[in-house]
Amino acid sequence: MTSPQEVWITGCGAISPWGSAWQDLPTFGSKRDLLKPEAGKLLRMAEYDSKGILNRRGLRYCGSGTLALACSSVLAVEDADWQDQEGLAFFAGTGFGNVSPMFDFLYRVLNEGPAQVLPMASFDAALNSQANYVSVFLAARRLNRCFVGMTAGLEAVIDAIRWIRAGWARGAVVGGVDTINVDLESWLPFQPEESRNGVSEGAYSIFLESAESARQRGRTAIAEIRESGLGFHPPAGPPPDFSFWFSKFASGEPSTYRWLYCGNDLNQDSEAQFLPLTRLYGNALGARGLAGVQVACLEAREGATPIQVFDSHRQGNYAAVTVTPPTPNSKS
Amino acid sequence: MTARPRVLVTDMELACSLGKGVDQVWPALLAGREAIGPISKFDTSAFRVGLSAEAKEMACMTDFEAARYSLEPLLQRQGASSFAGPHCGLVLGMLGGDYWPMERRILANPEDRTTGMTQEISEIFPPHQAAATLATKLAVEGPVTTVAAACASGNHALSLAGDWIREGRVDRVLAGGVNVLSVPCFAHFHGIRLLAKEHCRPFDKNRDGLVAGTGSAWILLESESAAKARGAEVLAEFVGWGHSCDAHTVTAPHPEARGAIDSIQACLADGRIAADQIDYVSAHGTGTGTNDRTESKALYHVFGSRAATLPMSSIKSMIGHTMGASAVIEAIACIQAIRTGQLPPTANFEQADPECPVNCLPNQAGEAKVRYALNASYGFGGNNSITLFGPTP
Repeated sequence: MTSPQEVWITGCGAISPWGSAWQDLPTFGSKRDLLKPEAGKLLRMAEYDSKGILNRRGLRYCGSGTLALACSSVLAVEDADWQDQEGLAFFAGTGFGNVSPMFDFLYRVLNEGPAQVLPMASFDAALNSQANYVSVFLAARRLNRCFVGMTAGLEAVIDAIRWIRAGWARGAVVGGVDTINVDLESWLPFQPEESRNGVSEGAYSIFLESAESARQRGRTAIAEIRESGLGFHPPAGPPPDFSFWFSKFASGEPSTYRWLYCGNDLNQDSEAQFLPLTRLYGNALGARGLAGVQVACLEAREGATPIQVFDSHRQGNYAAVTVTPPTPNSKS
Repeated sequence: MTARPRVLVTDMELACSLGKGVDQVWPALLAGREAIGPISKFDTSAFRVGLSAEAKEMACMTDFEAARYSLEPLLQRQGASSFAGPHCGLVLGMLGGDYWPMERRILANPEDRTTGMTQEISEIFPPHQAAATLATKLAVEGPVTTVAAACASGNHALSLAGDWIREGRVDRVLAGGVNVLSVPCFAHFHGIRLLAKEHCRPFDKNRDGLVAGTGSAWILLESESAAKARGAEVLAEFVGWGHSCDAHTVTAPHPEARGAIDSIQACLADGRIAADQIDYVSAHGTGTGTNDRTESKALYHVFGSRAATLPMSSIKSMIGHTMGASAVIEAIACIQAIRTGQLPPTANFEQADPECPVNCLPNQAGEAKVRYALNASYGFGGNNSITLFGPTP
């Protein structure tokens, strides 16, 4: 019997510095040489065939973030072989929204005058414009919702899990994205003291559905996923060390989990106890939660231990989900 | 049908171009007072239109400052310390980040494109700053998030808060919306020729667009048990919510209002309320040709011929379109309609539009016993989000 509460990941897609095949993303067990971001530097997305991925359907007037999110989301939908657009919801997580097109739009309006700027340019400058374009592109008719902030990716996953469990959507694409214009590299996230392990850009999407739906469709789980926690601890509160996280999220022995941390704020004492995503990806900004989930899916193939993927921002937001390796029960 | 926890409204506050506080703004709305004028915040000489509902006290605030400004009276009543701890969450809906510091910087250094984003600005700009800073000051330890769904952001924020309470995640949530008029937002609506030249005239045959506005609003939602335990005054029940996505284009609603209809029906189903129990609709009513036409279609589809007489109005005709804050401000109008039986008018109405044959309470406030009130919001990108309020149980 399958619990109605069970939510499966049945598709993944990524546009990253390592290409457009999510299975090629770096993992902690990778034996190959990896690209690694340097402190204060941006690791850009690799070249990829957006027209091929989008089947020659274009996204005119859109910036690199929207295009990457559309491609990663299309790849996730294809990976899941999902056809039901009526029951599809789209959730996005982004740290800064479409900051580069917005900045460009603002700069041109102020310096060149509003008459010189193409009206369509502004549609990809809004905070949630990436979600707007991608939900239209996917024809996701149940919902289009965008979370904002460094932990927005996992916040979006947690919301999508709720929607699947409640039956409000039959399938959900959850995508995290941030891409950065070179002109913005002087800002805070790029300061070496802020990002010891550099910064990377990219778009990472997963496809969620109930176990029941996947079984009916004859699909196998890449992994099972459930929410572990969502909250806030004011900066004046306890430091984000292992005991803090454990008390917030874990419901069993700590040895029964592996822990993957997506953020930038581990202290030295706790760093050794985690799989630190920043060592592989740098700070992937608003995309890091979804990158962490995909890495957990890949890591989960290596063993049967659930992985808690969690993220926090030093301002106080935290969020965590648990990725469980597929079991014999996870097959159709 | 299974019982589920009720979500109650126990306090609310707002600030907009008509003033600060429900006590100040509500009578002005009922009087049909329009608070729209020339923009003082930035030079509009390069634009064809220079009008907004600016809210002068808030015009040059950051999003955080504007959100805090509107929240102050509520905090004084409830006690700021009452939000500390894991029982409380906070969710804020918004359209964009804090652009104003960036605008000032660019204007001061027009030739230097690389200095648009400085470290100082980058500490203010990130769009989640407003919610996170407020939560920090209040020592909130429950879920804190920022949601962006264009002009439907406020209703998304309210519904997330409602979900958290229904699920027992927290006892109380501050759900709000904020929008400070910015150059990018103004230039966006200017560029697509959706700004009204003189007045916002929702559902009028001669309507020519919206007036961009500044505003912020908050609603305190609580579980029934928490409200009872502390003897809180209950203003209304937050009965239900529903969403959909047009998935049509990012620039216009579905021509047959398909998404709008789906979201209203989803909301009624969630609230377990029949359409004939709705006595007032706070329309999205932007005053643009397309929105008002498709919104009217949606109302006729859901309410049938009753849509011709069902009282509805658009307070955007008086306070402009406050974007990320608009749905929360309009939720307050719904709650006040239920509490007082008074319905705000649609101002500036001159000539009926055969394509919008609705009872928009033209220029005169209405009166009715309101059992349930529906709050509609529709945003670019096909974001449709509806909330539903009812009487104190």
